[in-house]
Amino acid sequence: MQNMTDKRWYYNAGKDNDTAVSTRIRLARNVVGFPFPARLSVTQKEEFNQQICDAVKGMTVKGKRLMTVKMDDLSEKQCYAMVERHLISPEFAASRQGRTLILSEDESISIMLNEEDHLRIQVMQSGQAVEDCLETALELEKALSEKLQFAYDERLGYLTACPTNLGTAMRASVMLHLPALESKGAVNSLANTVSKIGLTLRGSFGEGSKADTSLYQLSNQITLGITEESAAQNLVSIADQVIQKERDARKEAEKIVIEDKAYRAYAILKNARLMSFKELGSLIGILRIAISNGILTELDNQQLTSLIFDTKQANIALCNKGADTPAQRDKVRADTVRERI
Amino acid sequence: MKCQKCNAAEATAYIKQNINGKVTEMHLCSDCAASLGYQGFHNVVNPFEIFSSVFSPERKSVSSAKRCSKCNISFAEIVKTGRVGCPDCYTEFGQELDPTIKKIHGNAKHLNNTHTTLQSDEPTIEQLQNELQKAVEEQNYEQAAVLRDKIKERQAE
Repeated sequence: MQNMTDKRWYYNAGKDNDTAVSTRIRLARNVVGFPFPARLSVTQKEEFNQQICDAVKGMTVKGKRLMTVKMDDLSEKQCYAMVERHLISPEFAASRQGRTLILSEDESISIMLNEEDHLRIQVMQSGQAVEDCLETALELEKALSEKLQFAYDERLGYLTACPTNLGTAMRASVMLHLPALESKGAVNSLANTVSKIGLTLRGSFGEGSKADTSLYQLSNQITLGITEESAAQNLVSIADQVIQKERDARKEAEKIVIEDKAYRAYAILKNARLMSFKELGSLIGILRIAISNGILTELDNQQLTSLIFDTKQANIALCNKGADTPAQRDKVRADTVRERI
Repeated sequence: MKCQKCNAAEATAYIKQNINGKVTEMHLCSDCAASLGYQGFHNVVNPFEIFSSVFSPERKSVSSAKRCSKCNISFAEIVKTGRVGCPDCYTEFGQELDPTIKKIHGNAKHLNNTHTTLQSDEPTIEQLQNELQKAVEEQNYEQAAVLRDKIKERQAE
């Protein structure tokens, strides 16, 4: 595919990347003296953005420089491609007036300006990297707090537009690929269990409630009365357990059955001329199970992850002229898979 | 089980109604449930909608018209959108918001781990140190002593 930048964060190998696809931390912050974005006019939003951009100018986080992009300057395709890469929220892409995105070149660090809150700081990394992401997010937050006064209350913590985010205003999540647990039908009961300890497990990338690619997000729910570090530790300990359960489940089937499925999946990926994202997702799931069992070990888990981020519809349409219909995109997707695997 | 209304899609919602003792039960698909007005089973978007029952009718009518003196949002709008208008709303509508916040978060109080207060009116330690240096250079020792104490005080915080 043309224009595909291999500098993006998801090309870097991460810890536990056989199961953990990526980690994301989001911190919501609001600046004292301004109403929340829903109550700012476009002009006010632009003035506000200018202030923040000035504060961020020349700032580097973990050696990465930050750039600014006015959402108005982007095409719809570019915006939806960003949504697919989890860089911005669908809501942020839907209404772009008066909104600005600050981001690092590898897209691992970003700040959405005037989403629901004034600032949504976000850090992403491959694999299970909750602690690293939190450290980076807090470093950026600290640098910003030296230039901006964030709305804060002793009892309620960081003040946010939605009361559900009060406190740390932090959402941390790990995206997990759980093909084996899903085929065992174990995901629902797992989701029930984690909900009792303040976490949620939900389908990711799927259009409905079910994850049609076996990808799930495990994230924290509680934000008030818990420190960022404790919430992160809870998430890590549960993510580790889910990862272990998935690994165990991958080894439950008979070796010959796994082998048969793996080579069939591999043959399709190597030869198909049309491929939907859903099909790709389920075939990648089979390959991950295979790699866990010592089959097709020449394949790289990180390469599989990058396919997930690069081949959703808007990203394909953006990088390939004439990939505007589903059938055309299925062709490009199949070509890309054959090239890379 | 198929949806009792359209008879096509799989029923995913079970609705039991009790109106004046008359109980009716329905199994519906998500589309038909939505078309009949049974929404919001899965998408929890507005925390106030779910918890609106905590506002008693009298109190609601009194509070609805009340507006935030900073951003001018009315309490009715907050309940409708599920979002407050500005940071000061949490103080202005403290009483009204408290039950909702308690329903979401329990009696929890924020554990501060990261926040350092930045007082815009007060100079930073760095600024004070610069001033101190300037005072010393100008041999203004009285002023320098005051600044030194201020810096010490701030560093101890």
